[in-house]
Order: sequence, then structure tokens, then C-alpha cells
Amino acid sequence: MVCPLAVPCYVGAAVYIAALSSGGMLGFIGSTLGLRPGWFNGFWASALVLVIFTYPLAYLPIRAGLRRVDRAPYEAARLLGRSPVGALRVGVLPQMRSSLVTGGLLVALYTLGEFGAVSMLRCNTFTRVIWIQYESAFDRTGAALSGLALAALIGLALLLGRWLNGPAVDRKGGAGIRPLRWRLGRKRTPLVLLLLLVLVMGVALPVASLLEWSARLGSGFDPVAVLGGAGSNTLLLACTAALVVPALALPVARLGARHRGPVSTVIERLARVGYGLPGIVVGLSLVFIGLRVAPALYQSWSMMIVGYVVLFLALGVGPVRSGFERMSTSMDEAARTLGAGRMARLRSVLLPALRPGLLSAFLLVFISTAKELPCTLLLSPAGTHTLSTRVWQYTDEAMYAEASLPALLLLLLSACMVGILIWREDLLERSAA
Amino acid sequence: MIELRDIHKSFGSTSVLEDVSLELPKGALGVLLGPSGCGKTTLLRLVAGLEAPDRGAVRIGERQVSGPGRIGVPPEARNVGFVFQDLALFPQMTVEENVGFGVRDASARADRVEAMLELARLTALRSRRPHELSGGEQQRVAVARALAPAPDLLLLDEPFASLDADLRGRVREEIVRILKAAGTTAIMVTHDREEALSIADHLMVMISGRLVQAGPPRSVYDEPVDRSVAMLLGEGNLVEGTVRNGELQSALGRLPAADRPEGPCTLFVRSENVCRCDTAEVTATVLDCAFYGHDALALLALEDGTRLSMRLSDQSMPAVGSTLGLRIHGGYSIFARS
Repeated sequence: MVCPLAVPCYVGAAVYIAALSSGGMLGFIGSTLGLRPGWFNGFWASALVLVIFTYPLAYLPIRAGLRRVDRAPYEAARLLGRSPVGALRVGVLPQMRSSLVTGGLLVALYTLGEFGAVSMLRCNTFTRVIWIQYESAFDRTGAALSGLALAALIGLALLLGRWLNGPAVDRKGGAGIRPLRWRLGRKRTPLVLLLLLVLVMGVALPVASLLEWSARLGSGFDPVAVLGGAGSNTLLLACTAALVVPALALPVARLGARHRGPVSTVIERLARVGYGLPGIVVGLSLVFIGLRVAPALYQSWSMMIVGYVVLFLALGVGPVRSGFERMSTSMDEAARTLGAGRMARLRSVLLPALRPGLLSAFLLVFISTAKELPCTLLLSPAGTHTLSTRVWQYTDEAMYAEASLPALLLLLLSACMVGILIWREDLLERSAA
Repeated sequence: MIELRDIHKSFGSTSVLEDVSLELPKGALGVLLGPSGCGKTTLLRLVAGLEAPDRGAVRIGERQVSGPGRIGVPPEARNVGFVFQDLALFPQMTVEENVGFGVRDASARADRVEAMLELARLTALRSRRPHELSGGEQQRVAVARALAPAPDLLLLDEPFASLDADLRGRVREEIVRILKAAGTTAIMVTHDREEALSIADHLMVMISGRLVQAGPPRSVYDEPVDRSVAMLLGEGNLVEGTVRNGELQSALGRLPAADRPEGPCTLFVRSENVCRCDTAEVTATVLDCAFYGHDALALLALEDGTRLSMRLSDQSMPAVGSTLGLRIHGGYSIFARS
């Protein structure tokens, strides 16, 4: 069910635009209904695409939350005379609260900052307006003001999330939980079909449509010339970012896990704010900074890496920090009493504990960087293309066949990474059990 | 041999250890007994070098490891083994690798590991990882790992706390056997009095950061220095009384009390030293009787209303409401009234 996460939203939007265009796989829908060409755009189209491709963001925390639901409160409520629905409200919902809020907040933040899909579908949001103001009208002040407004909106969403989340409750940990399970019975088939529909819309349809368009490519198109450069640029940028970010995350995570205090809290919160900011806002502010402060860095690769660090530092800090937290201090002390010096302890205690965290930080940052569009678009040197900017450019010019190749490559790349991530997570859970 | 002199330690403004001194001969198993939060774990960590004392000296064998003049040998140079409460086994290493971790001399490692695995009966489990072992097996790995570098002193911090009551006794016997076979001096911390009494060569009782009493378990049990030590070591009764002319007078009748200061005092009698005696002058009414299988515990009220518990090791259960004659058999203690 997490597979659609591997499809960047703007690729999803491009797929649906191409498939529903008069020449596409689903072109018959428009023609039988007698709709004008290009009917698939605007608010509802954007909403549909965003729902299909961002639901895994909510799905993951909510699934984790469901697994931690203990059946005791539900059963107690039933025995005290509540109906099944009433018991769910009293005994289960409170346990689900924080994961529901987290899932909702993730989707809300993502949608607020989403740029590629809404722009392609011509739905006026802050991000699209900022881009038009900046790119077409070259109205930097207007763009900056819109950016500020968007940032304020995001701040508001974060505050709302905090308020909805309520005070932290100490919950029972993994082993002691007796989960609440129900037999689906006759409802099983329709539910499975519903899930299949989601998968078809989120995975099968995009892949099929992309393959179909790419098969239509004329012989005049040289994939190696166009995609070779973009592909290697994407790989190089994503690798660099995925190495730099975890390296910077190490000290932040250590500070957060070992020395709790105002300084570590502020740094960690800053990292999280960067993650919450839309790529277009970060990109734009780095353009301003580049022009004013460091013209030498403007439109350079190092500036792009800075942008990725601002955007994705939080992705690196999370898993590395949980690695630090998993490592009990008594483990380090045990190594000391057994005569291990600093280096031996690093090798035998610290690295094994941190390795999974570092690996998932690398993968997460790699995927996010490869998929990232607005910041890349704003900061990339003139003439430099990545897979994501190629998809954007070709879709913008209605060259769907040409867009399908970089989109497929991007899908392949992020599918590999998501695959490794899921596989490793399994591995981690198994070894912890 | 290990020696602590006048150890003081406080965390912030709370004093955790005050004026603690102790000695333990080579090869002995010392047990630190005390309620949770009395400072026993801190004391152990001080000896290991994981904490530094504010004042006082620690000597292990002939070597001063912490003391005045800012002597503070770091834990990795103390040659002290430590078995942690959560065991802290390295999860990514096999049993064998865990046990061999602390052996510095690479050429001797294989032999040493072999000997330790054999001693702890772990040879068959050598290539398992910690999460594939039962609680008792993990325990044995932790002890074998701590013993492998041949430490001068082994410290065990509530090593059996995480085990079921059933398994506990067996693992405890096994660990004591390993310690004795290795001939290592050891200090173990516990808050379980039966555990402490049954395995200690030298029992040390700690209450609120002070070492209140130390000695062979039998003598500490029979002659506690005050009521808190007495109550910590087992079920018993406190009865108010007065010493006059070398005799203690209380609701339990007259008892010899030579060499005790005259005046008000508290008599302490263990439940098993209260016995039925139909010809005795002192009588009591049975209020309740709880059956424990191997014995029973009766709650009695003396004529003046004083409550008393009596352990019945024979199978006779007195009826509730009946009246019994009582006498004191064996030891009792007299404390000045505080």
C-alpha cells in the first residue's frame, strides 16, 4: 500500500494529464463525455491527484498507530455497556489520536508546499503564484510576500497540529500490547476491491500509461543524449545530498539524544521547520541570498546542496537520533569495564547501533532529493537538467512521450530506494523481536 | 581484596552516599542489601569507575584506583568486571564474540573463551546472538563475558531482577557456582533478602546511603543493630517494653535482658521465634491465619491489644477466635526506643 509513495506527485499529475489527453490511454473518457481537450485541470483534478499520491504519508503513521492499539480499553468499554461504536470512540480513538494527527499534518504540510502537480494542473495555489510571479513577471517582491504568507500558513498548520495532538501520553511499549482484531467476513471482497482500485490508480495506471507513451517515441528522439546528462546529474546530486545531510545530522542527533536542553531543542526544531517549508520558498530565499550575499554561489551546485540540506536535514536527524536512543548507556559502560578504549567502543558499540539509522537517512534523503522539483528548478545552473526538471519541462510543453522516459527512470530509481527501505525496515523489526 | 574508605557522593544537592567504608577479603562474595534508592547501585558504579566519589578512597588489591590527589583510574584500566542490570550484551555479536570482547591478548583469547563457555555451560550456544537466548542464558553470557578478562573484582548490579521467580533461584545457584569455580572476588547488589541471605559470604546492609551493618549473614540476621535492619531482613514483631533489674517486661512477659540499659525499649522477635505453648502464662487470640503451603502465618492479638505475627511450621492451623498460650523460643533483640 505504500507503493504510490515512490511516484512523485508531479509525475502522477503528468501521467494523468497525458493519459486523459485526446491521444492518451484514457482519452476516450473525455471524448465520450464530450469534454473539451485539456478538461482535466483545476482544483478537483489537483485534489484527485494529490489524494492518490500523498495518502501513503498518512497511511504509514496511521498503520503504525493501529498496530499499537491495545484492546483492553475497548473491551472494558463494551463490558461497561457501550455499543461497538461508542466503545470505539472511548477505547480506540484516544489511542489513535496522535497518529491520526500526525498523518493529517504530514499530508497538509505536503499539500501546502506542493508545487509541480498543482502547477501542471493549473490550480492556483501559493506555490504556483510564487512561481509565475517570479518566472514570468519577474516580480521578486510579490513572490517574496506570497512566500511569507505561505510560510505563515504552514506555521499555523504546525500550531494546529500541536494543539490537536494534546499533551503527550505515556503509552505502553511494543511487547505488552494485545491488539484489537476483527474478522472481515462478507465485507472482505468489496474492501479488497477498493484497495485494488487505489493501487491501480496509484501504481498500475501510471506505469502502464508511461510505458505506452514511451513506446510512441519517434526515432528523432535520442534518449541517451537527453537523459544521460539529466540522469547522471540526478544521481550525483542525490548522492551528494544523501552523504552531506546524514553527516550534518550526526552532531545534531547526538546533541538531541544525549544532552537535552534549550540549545538542542532549538536546533532540532529548526531542522523540522526546514522540512516543513515548501521547496519553492526555500529555493526562492536561497536565490535572494545568492544574489545579495554570495553571487559566486548563485546558480551553483553547492547552492543546490545547501537547499537540500535546509529541506531534508530533519529526514536525516530522525533515524540517526533513534539510533543514538536505542544505544543504552550501559552498553558503552559495559565496553569500558571490559577494557575497551575510545576507538574500540566506537567500532563495537556506536557504529552497530547507528548503522541502520545512517542507512535509512541516506535512502530517505536520496529519494527526496531525486524527486525534488521546485528548489531544483530555481537553483539549478542554466542549462543543467535533472530527471525531475525534464519531466516538468516536457509536460509543460505537452511533449508527453518525451516526458515519459525521465519519469520512468525516476520511478525506477525511487522504487529501488523505497524497496530497500521497506526491506531493511522488515529486517530491523525482525531482529528487534 | 577490596577496600573502600569514607566514600561520599552526592548528585546536585541530594546526598546519595555518606561515609561508606567496607572491606572484602579476596575470593569472597559480598552482597549489598538495601531497599531501592538506598545508593547501592551508585556504590557499585563508584567502584567500577563509572562515577567518581566526591570524597574517599577505593583500593582494589594493592592498587589505589580512586582517592585523594584526584586519583581516578578510568573504568577500562581498572580490571573490574561489571554485570549490568539490563545485561547490556552487544546485540550484533554472537555469544562467543561477546565473551571474547574483553580479552586483550589475542593469542590467549580462543582458549580463554573456550574455558569461559565451558564454565558457564554455553558451549552449545556459542554462535547464537543474544536475542536468540532465554533470560537465564543471557544472564550466563553476561557473567561469562565479565569474567573472561580475569578481573580482580566482579560487580553485579541486581543481575536477577529481570527473571521470573521460578527461574531466579536456579540461575542464582548457577551464577554462584561459576563465581566460586572462578575464585573471583565479587560484590552483588540486591533488594531481595532471601537472595542476599542465601548466597552472601559477607552481608552488607545499606539504608539511605549509609552502610548500617556488615558481617556474616547469620549474625546480621540474628543480631541486627537496629529495627530498620531487623525489619529489612525478615518478618518480625516490634513490642514496646521496659528494662528493669536486668529483665525486660512487656506484653510478652518477662525475658532476661542482662547488660541492657535500664528504661523504655523496643523488643524485636522474629515471627518464627514466637511459639505455641499451652502451659505458658502469656495468651493471645487468633485474628487471622494465612496458609502459604510450606508454612502458615497467624495474626494474633495479645491481652493488651498488641498485634503479633507467628509463623507455624507444623501443619496445625489454629481456629480463628481461639486462644493460644505463647512463649519466645530462640533469639530476640532489644533496641533502645527511638
